[in-house]
Amino acid sequence: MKIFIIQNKKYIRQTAILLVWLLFWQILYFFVQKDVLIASPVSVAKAFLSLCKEYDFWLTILASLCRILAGYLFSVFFGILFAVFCYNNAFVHALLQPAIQTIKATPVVSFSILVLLWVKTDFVPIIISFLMVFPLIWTNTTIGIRQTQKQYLEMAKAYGFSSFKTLRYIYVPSVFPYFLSACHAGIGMAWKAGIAAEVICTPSVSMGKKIYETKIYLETPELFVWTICAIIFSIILEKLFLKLLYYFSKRIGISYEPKNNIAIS
Amino acid sequence: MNQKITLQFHNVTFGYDKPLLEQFQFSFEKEGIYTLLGKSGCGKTTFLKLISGLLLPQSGSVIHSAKKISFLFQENRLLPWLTVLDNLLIVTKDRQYCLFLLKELDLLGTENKMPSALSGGMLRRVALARALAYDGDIFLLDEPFTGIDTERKQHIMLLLQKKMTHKICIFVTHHIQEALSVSSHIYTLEKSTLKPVSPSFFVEESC
Repeated sequence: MKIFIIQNKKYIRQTAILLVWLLFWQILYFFVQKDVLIASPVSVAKAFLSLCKEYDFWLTILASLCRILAGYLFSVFFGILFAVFCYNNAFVHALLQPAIQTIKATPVVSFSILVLLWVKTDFVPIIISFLMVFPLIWTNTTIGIRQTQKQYLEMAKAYGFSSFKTLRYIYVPSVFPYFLSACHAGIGMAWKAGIAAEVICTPSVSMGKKIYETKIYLETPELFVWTICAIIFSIILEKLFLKLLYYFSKRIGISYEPKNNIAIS
Repeated sequence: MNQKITLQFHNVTFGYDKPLLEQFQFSFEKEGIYTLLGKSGCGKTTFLKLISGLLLPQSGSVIHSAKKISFLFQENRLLPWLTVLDNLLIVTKDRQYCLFLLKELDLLGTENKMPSALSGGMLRRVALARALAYDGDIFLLDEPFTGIDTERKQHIMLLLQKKMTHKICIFVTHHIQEALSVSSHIYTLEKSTLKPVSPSFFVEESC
């Protein structure tokens, strides 16, 4: 009963916050009074409802989602792989470090245009998402591996752990909080960078192209709808992915919650 | 029939900034508990690490016939992401034996708890249970009774004496009373030599 009341209070509070911001948006619209500059909440809702009925709308979201997710998953895979490789080889680490720093500092737009010269437009968001998340996963995983306590490794050696057992019981649980926070920060980053790349390269079926078209045709309510969709799907994707990682962590017997955001960007 | 456990140091030299052991020779001929006393920094832990193979001698060799060595480190080194029972099960598959050891060490009921939920003394007993669960032929116990109350200490000492009949156990401590209670083979590590100390020496000294 008490939990129910607390949950209810939480929802009431969240709804109230949402209503305050909607009111603020409406007031802003009231003062600006120009549909091209700012769409009203009502017109955005109308545009959203009409877009929802279209098959093309969902296909566009799915296409963008698949591209960004592909880039993200590639970066997770290669980020871990390279981190492990660099841990065993100081020269490779030193070699990779300036490249990672350069990738981190390069604007998405420069990369998008450069990559566009090499590959088809459909692949650009995948590569851009990969490039934005890879340094984060690599850096955090590398730090995680290096932070693995020597005491535990020594204990593993004394008790004759196999390499797999050391990986499973020492390295993975030690690295996991660092990896998890990188994944957490990376999913939002991949989404934003991927959409930005789509706007620049305009693949045939993409949210980025739709956003670009709304700019060309001055369809501000549609622009708002696509932007809100991007935000909502970013949040959904982040929550889903984290749930999946928590589930995985429990399966392998890591019975603790991950550290709060310790990602190094 | 149990194979006799042997442990020998042959001209072992090891040191960091200054040598801790120099041309060190020693042979643990009989099975049983050997107590090692010595001032802080005299190389007691290094001595244990050389036996376990965690450190390698700069010259000379450490030879033993043990298949497994149980090492209770000065720090507990329990994995914080595993439960008490899982911390034991990573060194053995025998669940029943782990539960038996937890019962013997008065830890029954903590098996599903995380190490962070236990007191210092309890953590020490879990670490000791892990060393016992591994069931090495040689036991290296680095100050095993830190944080354990006197009553439980007596019980654990009896348990150790019972378990170490066919094993070599090297027990490092600062406390003379602990040394006297556990073992009749007491040594001090000084200037690269293990000097045997007669238990009567401490009794006379304390009188």
